[in-house]
Amino acid sequence: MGEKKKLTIRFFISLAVFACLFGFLFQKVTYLVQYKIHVNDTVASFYQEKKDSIDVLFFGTSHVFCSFSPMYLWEEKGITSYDISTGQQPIAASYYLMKEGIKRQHPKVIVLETYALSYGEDYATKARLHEAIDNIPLNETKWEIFWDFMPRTMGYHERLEFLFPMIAYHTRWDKLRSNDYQRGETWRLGYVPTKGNKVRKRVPIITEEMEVREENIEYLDKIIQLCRENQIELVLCQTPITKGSRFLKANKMLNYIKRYVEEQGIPYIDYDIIRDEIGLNYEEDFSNATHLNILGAKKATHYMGEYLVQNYSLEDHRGDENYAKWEQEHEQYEEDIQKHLNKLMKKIEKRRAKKEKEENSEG
Amino acid sequence: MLFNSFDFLVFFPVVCLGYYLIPYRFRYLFLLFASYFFYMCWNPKYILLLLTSTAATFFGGLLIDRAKKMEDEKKRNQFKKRILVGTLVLNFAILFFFKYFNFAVDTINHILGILHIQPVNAAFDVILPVGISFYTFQALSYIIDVYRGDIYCEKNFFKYALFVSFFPQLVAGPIERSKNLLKQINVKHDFDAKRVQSGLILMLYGLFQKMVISDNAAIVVDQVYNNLGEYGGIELMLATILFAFQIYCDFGGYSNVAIGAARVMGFDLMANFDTPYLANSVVDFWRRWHISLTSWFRDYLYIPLGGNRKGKLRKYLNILIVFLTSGLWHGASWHFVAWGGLNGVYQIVGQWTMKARERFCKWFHINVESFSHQLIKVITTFIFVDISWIFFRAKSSREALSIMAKMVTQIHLQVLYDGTLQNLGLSGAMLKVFILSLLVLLAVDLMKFKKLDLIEMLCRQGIWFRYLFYLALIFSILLFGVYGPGFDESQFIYFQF
Repeated sequence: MGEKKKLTIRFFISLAVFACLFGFLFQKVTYLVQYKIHVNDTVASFYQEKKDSIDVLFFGTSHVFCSFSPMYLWEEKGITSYDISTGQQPIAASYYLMKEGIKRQHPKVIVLETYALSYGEDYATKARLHEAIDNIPLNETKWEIFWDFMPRTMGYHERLEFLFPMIAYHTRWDKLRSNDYQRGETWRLGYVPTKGNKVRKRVPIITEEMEVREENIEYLDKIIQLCRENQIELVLCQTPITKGSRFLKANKMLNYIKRYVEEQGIPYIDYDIIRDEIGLNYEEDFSNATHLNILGAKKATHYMGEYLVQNYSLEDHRGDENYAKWEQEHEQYEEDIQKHLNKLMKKIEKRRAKKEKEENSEG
Repeated sequence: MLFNSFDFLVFFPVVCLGYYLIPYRFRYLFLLFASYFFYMCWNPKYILLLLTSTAATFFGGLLIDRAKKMEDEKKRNQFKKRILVGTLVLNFAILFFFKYFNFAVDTINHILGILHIQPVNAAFDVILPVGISFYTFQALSYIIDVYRGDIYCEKNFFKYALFVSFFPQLVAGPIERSKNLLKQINVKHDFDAKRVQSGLILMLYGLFQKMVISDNAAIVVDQVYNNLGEYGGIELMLATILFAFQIYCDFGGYSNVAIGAARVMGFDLMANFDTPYLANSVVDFWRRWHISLTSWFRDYLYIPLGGNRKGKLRKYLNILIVFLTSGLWHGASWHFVAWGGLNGVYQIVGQWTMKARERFCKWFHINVESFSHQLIKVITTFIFVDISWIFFRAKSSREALSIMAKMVTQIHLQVLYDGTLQNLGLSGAMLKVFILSLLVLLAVDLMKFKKLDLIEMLCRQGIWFRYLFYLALIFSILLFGVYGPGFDESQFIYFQF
């Protein structure tokens, strides 16, 4: 072999080695400069979970991470689950996250919260899209996302920041905080305990329907197809809707969706209809306009647990050695949730006292 | 397609791979195709202009070459001259229309306005074709060289078209000469790992100059120059100094990427910037700044005008003509002309006072070889050059003059400690990084000035050092470089309960 040829081969080998080294560091540095809030940490942490250890995956907007607590589900039924939900998660993002979720966990049941199906065009901002997909590693799903799911109006140069989040975040290098250097707590399993207390009005149940944006239906169909192909049971649900014209419109659209999927034999849990059954308290169970607090989430999760156990053959993993991690993390969870709960209870008591006082003075 | 774009990051490796994989005899066609694609990424229509310039100079060259066979010398020369003039007129006409037409109309209207005559209404809405000044000059150098008999006439249109459109230097130089580049198109370039490595390093450094130094400097410069009313003399001085580095690293960085990219494919392009701010006189500066353009003007304008062979006065006049033209080449506006003119005047005054200065040094026993004397010369040269940059950066000559006046009359020393300087767009850690990157630039230039071949030195180092160096360079570009939409935290704050 000639000297030149040798050099060429050596060049390409060292180039390949360098590329690997660079790729590794690039990923690390990208994660470092990414803006971290619990919602996108949820997706990153999901990849830390042991493969094929989770039976139920929840997808959807903030309604999911405020309403369904996987640890509570574990505590009550021994079901392993995870909330792959991010703020205002567009339905297309849910679809791709679902692909990733199925690839890693092969769940038995997937629960999709439908609120995002009521979104109009360009509802989600770039920041929300980042939260949803930044932590999907650079793989074929990300590649598909790049070409397919971004708002169709977005040019491909603009989309690059979703393929390489470094483009969007690199200027953060001098604003890093301590939480940028550490991974989030895995025991949350995507759930975000909320401790607000807002009194909501119990709105009458609406039966009217309203057409949903075509693109949303398109992705809903894709999701149904995806679950069918992978023999996964799909359950759709809708967390309680409260007052406001925006929610009224959403409610009508979700009624449309409900009929659309039920015609295809897919179950739809409408928490508005079962609100009395689960004992939803409009004075105490809401954190803010549409999000359930810890108390509300317990009720929603409890019902979901009952439903899942009754309808699907899900294993109770409690006591199983392979799931020791869950037991340990449950302790951490208990500790943390108790703190939040105490704060919430104080707020509620304060409000109750105030209300009593007002009633007394009136009386 | 810009060098500092994602597109180029994909385009370049693909082209290189293709280039080395296909057989020799098709390579020039492949490069031509790649170059035309590169150009058409901006505006596909303007490829026609490039093609017209190419065709005109190519066929002009053929005709001049054919004239050799004419027996009557007088007739032959006349014919050759006609062809040359025709080609020049056509090319300059295109350049004029696309770059200077609106400027000319504005100027005429300004004069008419002074004379109280109805202005002409003939503004055309044309976009300046990217790189037109560069490739037009490159094509013209070929036809003039053929006319002069300095270069053979290229008979293969596609090879010639590649010479005019070679993508690394198509849109921002170096403006190549046929004597250098055209000949290389016929050379078989084997894959040479050392060359490729060296080219890649140069490209990386060029990107560092452009994205980290130039584009960050631009933040401060734009902040001050776009809000002149808010800033006093010291801020203006700082911005003007930074502008010197902005334009150097922008242009020089771009040239480095071009030279590096060509080197990866086996081509040698001419040097374009040689540590310009270490020049010890304005004449020296112009030997080091945008060398390919300066030498173009020297060969095709200054010398034909008579150069320094027709007496002092003519020489000074020639210098002035060259620099005024150079100013106009840089931009269709009077403040560019003023910038060029000022540089011409510097040189004339410099030469004019040369004897007196020498006598002065002798009289006071100043050792002109000493470091301190050279340092003072370098600093003074920088100051002179930097003053001329004010005309380059300002929106008009009048604005430039008012900036200069402000630098003298409105010096408020409190801005040095009241935090104003930290609020010019770069702050905190970024400011420190920026200063550090300027020091890197200085160190690199000093070593280059001492004729050290840095890339060669780097390639001799062990693998761990080289990898560390590459990673440091790449990540400093990725983190500190200016690109992307910028991060807006308020967008992300959501559900922070």
